[in-house]
Amino acid sequence: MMTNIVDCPQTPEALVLDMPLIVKFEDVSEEITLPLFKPEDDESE
Amino acid sequence: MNKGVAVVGAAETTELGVIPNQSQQQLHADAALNALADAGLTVKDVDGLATAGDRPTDLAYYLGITPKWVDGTAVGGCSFMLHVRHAVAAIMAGHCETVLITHGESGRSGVGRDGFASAPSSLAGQFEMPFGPMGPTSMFTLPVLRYMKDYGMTHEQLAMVAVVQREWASQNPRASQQEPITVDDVLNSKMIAYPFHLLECCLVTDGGGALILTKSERAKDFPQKPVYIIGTGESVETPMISQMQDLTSSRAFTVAGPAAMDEAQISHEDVDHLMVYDAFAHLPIYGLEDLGFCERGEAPSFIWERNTAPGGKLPMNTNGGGLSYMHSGMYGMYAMQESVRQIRGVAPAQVPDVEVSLCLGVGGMFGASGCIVFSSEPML
Repeated sequence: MMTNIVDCPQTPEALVLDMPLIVKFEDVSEEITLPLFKPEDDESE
Repeated sequence: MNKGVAVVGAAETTELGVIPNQSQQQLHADAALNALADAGLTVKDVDGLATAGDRPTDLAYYLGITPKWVDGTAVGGCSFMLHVRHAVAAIMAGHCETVLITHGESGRSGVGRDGFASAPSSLAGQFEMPFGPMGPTSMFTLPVLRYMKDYGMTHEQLAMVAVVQREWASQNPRASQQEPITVDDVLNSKMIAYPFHLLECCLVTDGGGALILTKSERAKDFPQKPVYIIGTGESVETPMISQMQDLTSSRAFTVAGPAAMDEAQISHEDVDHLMVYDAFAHLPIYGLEDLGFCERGEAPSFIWERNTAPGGKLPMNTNGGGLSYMHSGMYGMYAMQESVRQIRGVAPAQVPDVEVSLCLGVGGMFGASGCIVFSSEPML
């Protein structure tokens, strides 16, 4: 699926292929929520 | 059934590059009239018409043709290869006798043309564009990064594709970019979308081209050396880059390419000259592998070792390609024009004794493909 990786520096060094990710749902409007992904080891939230 | 049709007229627009004084429709007409002149024909002789990017109805009206056969298949830059394939079938079925296939594109100047975007209601518009990718620079990054990781292709190897094609372009007075470049020049050019540097992305230019097809049995009556169409193939895979079955291979290539080669009854050794639509630098690598000229993962080394360069055993993209010759947006027509020139023996960077030229096109971002095998001799 096409998505975006968030909570991660947007650089080739940080955005490594096959890295473990975890879903993060992002409300973009009252009706629409997009599934985005962040690094699995991210401690935020 | 495919042994009976030949190209008897072929030409590009009078100018290529930056043409701000002609609309897209005029580029179509300029190319069409040049191709008709090349064949010694007029629009009155045309009874079949195909085009993409613009409506065939518009073009028929503009040129004053009321055709008996029409094809408006539009699957991106390889659409014109599909038109050739469909025209062969139509001519052999007796639906028409003389087909004009035209391409005109005001890709740089944008005179009389719609924008380049997927409709919001399309699959890509619903499921990919909300996340940002739109168009080749942002979509082609995904497959090439997967290829680089899986097969260890280096940035230098990717850059070499552009270097070799510039070598060919340096022999071509009509090429937009003719100054020789090095791998360092490519890697030091502006980063557009990782891993693509500016010189690994296609040009954005204006131009057009047209082909005239008719039955082989008539071909010898025309002023130019006939170029026979001995094999054709086509396919589509997906409009969404994320949905490719394998990011390192195009299913459309692997259907269209073998279909054309099987129909032509040729092996890889029979191919004297190869065109692989190079919108971006990784396309020839995919083409070489999906067509079976190289094993998986070996095309970068094959190009690095100069096998496709001037003097190499498999001359490829000898006009300079979409990277250096021209790229108006739908480059497929220009690839076929170079195949025709090479078989006629009139290419600026002529390869000696080309009897078989294989021409592989891509549509969208690995969304579609068309493949044509051209030959100096009709198939026996």
